[in-house]
Amino acid sequence: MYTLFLDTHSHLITVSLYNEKNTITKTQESNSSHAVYLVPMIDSILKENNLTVKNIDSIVAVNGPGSFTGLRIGLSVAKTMAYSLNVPIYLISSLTSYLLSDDIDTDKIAIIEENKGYYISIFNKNNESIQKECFVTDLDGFNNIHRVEEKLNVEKIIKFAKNTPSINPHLVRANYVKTIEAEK
Amino acid sequence: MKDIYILAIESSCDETSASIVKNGKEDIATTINTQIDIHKLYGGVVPEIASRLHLENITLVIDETLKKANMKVEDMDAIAVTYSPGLLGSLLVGLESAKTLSLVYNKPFIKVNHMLGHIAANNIGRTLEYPLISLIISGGHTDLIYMENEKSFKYIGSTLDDAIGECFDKVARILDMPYPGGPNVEKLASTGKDTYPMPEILNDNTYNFSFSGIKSHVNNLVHNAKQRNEQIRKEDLACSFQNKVTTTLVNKCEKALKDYNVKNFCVAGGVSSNSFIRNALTEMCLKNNIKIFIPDKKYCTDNATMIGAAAYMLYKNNKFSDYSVNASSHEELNIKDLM
Repeated sequence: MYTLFLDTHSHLITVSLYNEKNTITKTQESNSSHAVYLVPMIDSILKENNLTVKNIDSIVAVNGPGSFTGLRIGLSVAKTMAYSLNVPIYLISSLTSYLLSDDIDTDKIAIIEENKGYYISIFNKNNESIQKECFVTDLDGFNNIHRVEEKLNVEKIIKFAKNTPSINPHLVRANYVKTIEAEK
Repeated sequence: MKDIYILAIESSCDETSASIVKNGKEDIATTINTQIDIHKLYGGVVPEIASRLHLENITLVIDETLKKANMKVEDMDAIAVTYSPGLLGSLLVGLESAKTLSLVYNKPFIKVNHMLGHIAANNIGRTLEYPLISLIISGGHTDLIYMENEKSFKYIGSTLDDAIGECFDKVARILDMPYPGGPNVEKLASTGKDTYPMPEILNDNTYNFSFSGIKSHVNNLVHNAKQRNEQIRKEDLACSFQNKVTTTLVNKCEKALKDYNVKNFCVAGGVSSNSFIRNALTEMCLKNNIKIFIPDKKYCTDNATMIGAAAYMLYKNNKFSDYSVNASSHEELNIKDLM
């Protein structure tokens, strides 16, 4: 059985199948066309490995922050799949995913750039949060902290996520971090 | 013949809906989660909020529909979804959810144009007869379509500027009526008299419409009255506006029916839930011995039942889609969608 991993928060879509023995990953650059690629990627990663959806026993999905539309595409798929397969689903932050994927022995910061600012989150070397994720308009004061790359270590992310409580598929939501203009 | 069950999903604007439709005609179960009360706070649909709510509600709406029908996705013959036109972020939620159900249950996937859905709403509980002229009136459309049969159609006219529903909503705003404007203008008009002179609306030899002139006229009238500290009789203004717009609709439809020598007329889209317009079009058809099709009011506004009804037409023609379909905010109904 495999855990299905989905990340659609940025211009790089990642779809992985993971179990103790094996991790298979597909990535796809997408310029605002995540809907064109995502479900076909899941379909083909299963078929290419002679698997079906019945081989999926859990789902880990990145729920943000990041592209609002990208996130909703990934989470619509993730929650519908968890609901219809009746398997547990775990959510993980995009910033946490980047932080976990870097093993450096110091404090580290993940930064996701956005039009009007940055989403940031800071972990110490033990992967404990020392700055809760938030949206900032400039990076003053953060320049001396090691900045992690936007790279994913799928095994580490999945292991971490599956240690958090699973969530009712109906309650899967994006973690937008930012409020939108109309709500202000 | 075997009965065909289609699970349809619609999320093109501010309603998350799912429906199970049998043979394109029978509404087995439908759920509509409307966001109107939330968008009211902002005076109109806020696309980002609409998209967020669709994501929150999509599986709940599907689940409730299956439970009401006491059916499972396994029992379905196909999964259908609206892919265009509409709000992109909203469409994408329904689209991706529908693709996923199709993948998980290995069921054929059918993409449906929302406008075909509005027309097909007329097949629920009855059967459209061809050839026909169809009038689509909604917040985004004012179209006249000629359909020789179920597989062929051609746009013969449309609005050159504002859609009729958009015009109703704007007039509602000018008159300080809350969102959604259309039904509020209708309510206001029902107690008013046609006393305000209205400008002529495009009345040429084409089947096209133009509503920006009358909208500006209402706006200027109210604005000038305010500056002069004069009272506006809102009921009368709404009534005068609605009468004028309806007369134009009726005239253009009558002309199209005569020119094309067609005896069937079908009305579709959210604005066809307006009773005054329904009555005026029905009267015109009665006078000309034309058979009129108008959906029940609940199938006029956005709902997934009509998407299931439209999907059945496509199912019969083996018009299935693959999972690379993208949502589109503006892709019009295309003859290739049907053939």
